[in-house]
Formats: sequence, C-alpha cells, structure tokens
Amino acid sequence: MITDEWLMIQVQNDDLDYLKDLFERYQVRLYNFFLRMTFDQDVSDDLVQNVFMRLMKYRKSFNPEYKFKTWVYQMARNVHHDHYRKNKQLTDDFKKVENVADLHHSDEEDEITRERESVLFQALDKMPEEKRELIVLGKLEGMKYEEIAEIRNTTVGNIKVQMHRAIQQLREIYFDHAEN
Amino acid sequence: MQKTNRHIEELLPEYIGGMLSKNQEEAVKLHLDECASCRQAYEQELQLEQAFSLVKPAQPGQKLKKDVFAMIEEEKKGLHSSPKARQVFFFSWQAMSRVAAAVMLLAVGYWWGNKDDAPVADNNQVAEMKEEISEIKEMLMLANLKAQYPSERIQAVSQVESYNKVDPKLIEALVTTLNTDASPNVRLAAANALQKFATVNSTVRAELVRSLEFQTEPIVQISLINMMVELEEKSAVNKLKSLIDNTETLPEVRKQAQLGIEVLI
Repeated sequence: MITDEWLMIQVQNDDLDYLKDLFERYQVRLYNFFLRMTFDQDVSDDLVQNVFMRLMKYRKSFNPEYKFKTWVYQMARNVHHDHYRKNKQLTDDFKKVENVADLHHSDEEDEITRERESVLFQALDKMPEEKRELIVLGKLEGMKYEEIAEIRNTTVGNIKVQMHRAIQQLREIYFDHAEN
Repeated sequence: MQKTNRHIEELLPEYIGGMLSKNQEEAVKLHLDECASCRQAYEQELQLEQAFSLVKPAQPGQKLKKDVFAMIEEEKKGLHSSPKARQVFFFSWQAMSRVAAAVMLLAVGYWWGNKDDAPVADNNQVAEMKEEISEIKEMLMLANLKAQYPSERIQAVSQVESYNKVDPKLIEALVTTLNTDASPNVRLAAANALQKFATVNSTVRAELVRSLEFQTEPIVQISLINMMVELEEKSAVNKLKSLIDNTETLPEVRKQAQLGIEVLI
C-alpha cells in the first residue's frame, strides 16, 4: 500500500506526476467537502483546483513527519475560508441548495430520500460556517474526532464539545423545518 | 436531575457512534429509559444520523480532472525550462517591492554620495525611477489578469484592487475581465474590485451598468444589481427592466432586479 505521504514526498522532489495520484485519491472527498460548504458545483470545482494549485506551489514546505490528509484538509479549510470571506454578502442572496440535493438522485429514485436530503442540506445551510464545517467533516466526510482535532489544531475534548453543540443546533433547525 | 440530563445529552453523539465505554453506555441506556426529554433528543439524533448515512457523495465532472492535470503538465514544463524563465513566471509582489526598495536605496545612496554636486537633478532621477517601477508593476498586473488559472486571475484582480491609483489602463483591463472572463468567480472578483473605483469615478459606474448586458451567471447578475442599489445608480433602472423582460433571466434574479428598481426609483 503506497501511502499519501510517500506520494507527496515524490511531488516534493519535483516528480509531479504523483500529484495526479493524490488527485485521484482526494478529488471526490474534497469536492464533496466544498459542495456541502458552498452548495455550488462550479465554485466547488474551482476550489478543488485551487487546493491542488496550492499543493503544487507549496510542495517544498510539506513535512513528511506530518499526515498528508491533515495537511490537505487544512489547506481546503483555508481555501474555503478565503472564498467565504470574499463572497459573504453574496452567498446570502442566491442559493443552489435545492439543485445540489437533486444532483445525484435520478427520477426513479425514492422521492422521500431526495426530500429528506434536501431538508438536511437546507438545515445545514442555515448553520454558521464553523459548525457546518465540523458536521461536514465528522458526519459526511466520515472523519474521526482525532483527525478533526488535528486539522483544527485543538484537542479531542474540544471537538467533542463543539460537535455536541453543532448537532444540537442542527437538530433544532432540522426538526423545525421538517415539521413545516 | 436537570444536571444529569444535560450530561447525557452531551454523550449522545458518542453513544450513537458507539464510542463510549461499556459502563458509560449502560448509564446512558438507563437514563434514556427514565427521561423523556433525553429520549426525544436521542430519537432525533438517531434520525439525523440516518439522514446523514443516506447522503451519497456527488461526483465531480471530468472537467475538473482535465483542468488539474493540465495545470500539473504546465508546471512540469516550467521545471524543464531555464531557471531564468521560471523566475519571471513566479515573480511575486514581495520580490517586486524588494526590487523597488533596492532601487530606492541605490538612488538615495547615489544622491547622498553626490549631495554636494546636484541634488536637484538626482531628485528627478529618483522620481523617474519611481515612475518606472510603478510602470513595471502595472505591466505585471495586466499580464497576471490573463493568467491561465482562475485562482491566479482572482489574485491579479485583488492586486489591482489594492493598487492606490486609478489607472485607466488597469480599469479597462478589469472591465474586460468582468465582461469576458470564462470563470464566474473571476468575473465576480472583478465586479467587486470595480465597485471600489466606482464610488469615485462615474465612467466605472457606467461600465458596471453596461456589464449587466453581458452577464448570464445569476450570482454575478445579483451582485451587480446590489451594487447599483448601493451606488444609487439611477441610470441602471432601464437595464434592470430589460433584465426582468428577458425570458432567460432566472426568477431569483428577476426578483432582485424588481427590488432594485423599487429602491432606485
């Protein structure tokens, strides 16, 4: 099993073809991370590309002692945060949440599933950025508390508390929405 | 009892995720049997968990892979070219300002050395050098606006935005970017940059109004409409009307245009 870190060390030594392997490993994960954060496919495409541009640009600064996954997600967070800061006033105006929920369900698929997904995304969409990110990482990207703590540079204990609060808030929004 | 309730609720995510020790798990179970409000919280979290598990990852399009691979190939080319050529390509602003500082130092040193002879002439030289440096800076910005990747072009737009001079050439380049760039994100960045200049320059305001003709991306249309309102640009009303009349216009955009007209009239 070739590790991510081994691939990245090759990239660091200017063997850039190995970055393509890393792209294959991470594109879907990163794309979905951005998609749940922005609900915009084009923006998500751009942001994934942006992450890989940064990986390439800063390849020399990769520390092989460090987990590649943590590094790449930290980069993704920064990329999203930059985007969010620049477009904050706009993101409130126009949302594609509905389309994103409809994206990967064919018409024959269970209407209830689609509806439920749409309700979930709309509830997520109402969450503050930090809490939404936590839920996306933990619940949709399937990360362990330890990994999230590493990415956010904090303790597992903190992540537990924050996760509990985030879920609590999401629950209130979600069930309020589901009832209406 | 209230205190224990809260405590249990905090443990729910871990309880559902099966991360608790045997003893803790038993304690939570016991509590859930007794406490209705915690039980409701538990059932709701369970439902949420189910909703999460049903979400399928979306697949990015082929275009993303193509773009990223092209970017990697481009960088590989740079590796094989002469070091000199690469240096120009990666010319950063920090480097640029260091060069500027060095030139200034030289100039000042030169002036200091010749102080007794003709300081006036040297002052002129310093001014000339300054002029030259800002010309080089502008040239680089113009080149960067045509960079290959959207994120590089966005960076170039923000360089222009933070530039302290209203330079007609740069404004023109930003307008071209706003109306023709392939990436909506770059167009959006250009619109935001132009808004800064629009407050002091009526030509820029007119260009922003005119740009509504060219935009098809809702998010760009909406931000332009909002700018018109913020700038109180009454001349935009006709353009907003034609946007509403256009059958291609999305309902959200139409709504925003309607609101804009109401504020502006």
